Amino acid sequence: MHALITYLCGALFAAGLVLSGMTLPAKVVGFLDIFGEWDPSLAFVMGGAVMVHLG
Amino acid sequence: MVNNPFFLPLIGGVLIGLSASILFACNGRIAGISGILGKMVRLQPNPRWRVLFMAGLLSGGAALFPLMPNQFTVDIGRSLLLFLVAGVFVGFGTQMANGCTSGHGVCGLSRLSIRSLAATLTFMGTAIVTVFLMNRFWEGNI
Repeated sequence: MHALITYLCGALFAAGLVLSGMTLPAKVVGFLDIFGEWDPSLAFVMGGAVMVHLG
Repeated sequence: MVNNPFFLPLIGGVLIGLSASILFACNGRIAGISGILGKMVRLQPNPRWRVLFMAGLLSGGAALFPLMPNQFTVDIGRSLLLFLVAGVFVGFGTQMANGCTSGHGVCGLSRLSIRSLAATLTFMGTAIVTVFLMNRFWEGNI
């Protein structure tokens, strides 16, 4: 049971990365390009994660 | 709501936060991906939780790939060599800093760690400067 939960935690993490767009280098670069065409959406990934983990 | 550009990143972040919270509650471990991977490639004996978590991470990604292939587009007009060099920098830096976006940026910040705040501000700042310089002075020809 413990092992299964740990395994599923990894899968859940992967789903989070894929859904959020963290797997897309173009999106990550867009987030970091604050002096160009800034795409702030990835801030919501860290924001959402910290919010849940903090709570 | 689903069409809102911030919706999926927020949902993804919530899933990552849930994963980190459950892993911590279940094993008392920090979901720091660079740390986990770094210890695994050293070929020392690894505790079971680390192997299981990494197996879940990889198989989760593999299972999602056929479902949403567009989320796996890695081509940004840069060469494989540049990816390799960047990967070495990331590996070196995250081991030196004892963490990356997940360990410091999510887990550390959630625990209100000053060390993690310093690490997060440093790698974000460095990355922003790097993107600025690369976009302006380095076309994707190497």
